Amino acid sequence: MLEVSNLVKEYKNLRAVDGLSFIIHPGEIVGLLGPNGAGKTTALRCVAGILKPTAGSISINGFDLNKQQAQAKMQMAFVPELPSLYELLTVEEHLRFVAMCFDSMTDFDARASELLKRYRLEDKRNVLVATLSKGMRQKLAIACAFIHSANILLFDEPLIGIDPAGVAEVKAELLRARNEGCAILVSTHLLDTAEKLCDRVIIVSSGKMLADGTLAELQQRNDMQGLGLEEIFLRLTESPSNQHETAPLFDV
Amino acid sequence: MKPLLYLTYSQFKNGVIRAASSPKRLIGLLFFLGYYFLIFLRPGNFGGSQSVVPNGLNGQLEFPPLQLVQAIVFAAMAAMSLFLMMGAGMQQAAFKPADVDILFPTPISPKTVLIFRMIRDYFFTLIVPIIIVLFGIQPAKRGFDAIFRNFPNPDYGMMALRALGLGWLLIALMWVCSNYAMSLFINRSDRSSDRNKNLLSWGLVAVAIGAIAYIAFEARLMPELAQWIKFSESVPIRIIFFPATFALWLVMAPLTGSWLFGALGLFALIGISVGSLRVALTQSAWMYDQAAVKGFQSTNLRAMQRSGDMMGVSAELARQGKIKVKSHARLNRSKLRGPWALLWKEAFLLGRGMRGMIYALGLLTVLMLVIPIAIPEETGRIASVGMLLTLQLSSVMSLTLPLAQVGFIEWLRRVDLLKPLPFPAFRMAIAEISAKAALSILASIIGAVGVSIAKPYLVLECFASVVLVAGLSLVMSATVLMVTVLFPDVEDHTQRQFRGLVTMLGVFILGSMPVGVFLALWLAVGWNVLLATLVPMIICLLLTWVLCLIAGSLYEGYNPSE
Repeated sequence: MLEVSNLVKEYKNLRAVDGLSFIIHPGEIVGLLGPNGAGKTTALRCVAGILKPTAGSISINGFDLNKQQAQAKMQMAFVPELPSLYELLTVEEHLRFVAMCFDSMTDFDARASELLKRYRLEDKRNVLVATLSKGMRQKLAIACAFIHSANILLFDEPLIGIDPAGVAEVKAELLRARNEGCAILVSTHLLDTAEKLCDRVIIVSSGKMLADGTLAELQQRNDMQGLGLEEIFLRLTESPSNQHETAPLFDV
Repeated sequence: MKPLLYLTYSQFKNGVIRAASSPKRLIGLLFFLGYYFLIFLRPGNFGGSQSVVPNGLNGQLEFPPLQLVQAIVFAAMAAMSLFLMMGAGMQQAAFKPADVDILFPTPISPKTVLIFRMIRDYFFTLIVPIIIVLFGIQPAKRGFDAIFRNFPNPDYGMMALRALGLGWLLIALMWVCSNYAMSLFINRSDRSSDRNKNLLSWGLVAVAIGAIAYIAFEARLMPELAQWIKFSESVPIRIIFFPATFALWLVMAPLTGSWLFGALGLFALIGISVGSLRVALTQSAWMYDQAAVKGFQSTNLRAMQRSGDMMGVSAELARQGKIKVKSHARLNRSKLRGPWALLWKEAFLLGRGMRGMIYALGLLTVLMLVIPIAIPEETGRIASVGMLLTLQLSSVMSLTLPLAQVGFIEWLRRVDLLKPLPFPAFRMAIAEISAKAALSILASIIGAVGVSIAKPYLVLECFASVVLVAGLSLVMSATVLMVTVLFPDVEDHTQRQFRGLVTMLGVFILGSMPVGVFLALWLAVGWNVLLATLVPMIICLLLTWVLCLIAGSLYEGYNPSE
């Protein structure tokens, strides 16, 4: 279970995330939605342990990310938007490196082969990452997420840059992971995908949470019966109080 | 630590294999190895047991005065300190984007990553000394033995060499540790680090200015070597360069017998290193944060600088808030239409993307005004005219060429935006080359008008120079355009270098033609100077027209994806 409580991330003159709190249970896919500059990527990077939160706590299966970082990170995997990979590693070496980092070398060869087959990267096993196309890189980054037994998965725009077949594969992979009991947080701009794929959505704007719930709950709470996710999203994020994209703290 | 070693080893191995697998990269690798071979391993270094003491000096080489040795060692250590100190406060956590995306979310502790990077950086600081030690220890030992052979204990030569090595190792360790500590301490993304950064930066600037002022002041009084040696022993200098002082105590201990000071130097350097390491480790929780926030910025900047995308560099600096945008009401009222709007765009890009060129324009204009005016009349008309023409023509090289080289790369990068514009590529090319030539023509006009007012008898030469500069600027700009469109891969490093070479060749051939015709008509045939510029001007315009025609048609067929 992923539990985020009152997460704040400030830069010198900007509050990128402002008091975000949510819980994601095992076997649940939650969509993190918001306009550009809403703080989605910053929030995900805080949860992934890349950025140091200014305030708030993040608990991963009971491990405090701040105090028990290694144990907490062992539980999760992060797939960034348009991932930067180590260009001078081969595909297999990349998987091996990630597996080594997570101390997950048992049955590595079998798992790597299975993942490479699943993402149709078998013939690329020994080629440098530098030679892969954008879509293949995305697939490799996703394969890296599944090389160790993570049960909390963080995806930042996982469907950007991959072909329709790849999109279908990633969606199937997310559903499979959910059925296996993973808690999944997906940041996306694709509202129709979020509507079909996610059990619940969190809508953020200017670093603040505007809504959290299933589509039915959002319709009910916001008096928007019969409206789709897109209409609800636009109404919430375009309301006058949420017009600015970022929340400056001081004079910029 | 094991995954980090694996990562480093695999990347190094694959990098070498990759470098050897392509002829283009192999040439680069061989050039690199050849360079190091010539520097460190050249045959002279394998001279076996021959004496390094030149024949004429055999028996005459004496151990130099201890004070001189101290001064040399101190200067070497201080220079090394200054060199290593340059990294202080800079973004030590400048990780690769792949580190942020792949390494940081893994459970590897930031402390482990920090220590690994410190060891790696420490190793890099020692590469040159290690190579020297590996291949130069024997010649160095022979040299030391020769120098120390008349010293009471000849073994001191080797002892001093070892102490020097230890001093080097410790001073490098101290700077690697303290640079990391400082960088991590002042580059955090929280607000208090701004204060720390300002304190440290201003403190260092104050010390540097104070030291330079003190050295400059003292230097006035010291024409003799002996005074310089005394100066190196003065307390303020020893305090300012305290790491060098500690290293000096350590290195000199075997020679002076001051073992207490030697131990003090040793422990001080180790103490500072350990203290810095502790500070760095306490700040390590911020390291990933810094790398994610700032490391990307510097990585992007470096990548753009490497690929020669100077407009991209300016855009990145603007994103970081380092370039402020001013509105230009006068420019906004411009009546330029059609392809001439490209001139209007150029004015904005110039002001925001290549501010250095504006400063160059100002400087060059001042020089074009001041120098010809300052030449006394009694020196003769030829000297004034010669200087005037030289300065005027140099504006083409120093303004038009760099502007065109950067600007036409930008032209290719923005092909998706420019090609759909509703005018033919030829007209676009004409407008673009005019935009690149405009700055040197402007400088030339200002210079010519100023000189004509101050020295009215040079008025014809002044206006002749403007005509010549205008023609040359256009043809130079068109040459760069042509070469750029012929070798349009903006990302390819080899093609970039080749483009530079071909540009220089083209500039030389096409530039020397009109200049040669001008000089022949003016000086050999004896035409009036203004009249003599007309033929070269026509040549320039014809060349420009032809080059724009060809470049325009090539641009029409240009596909950035190919």
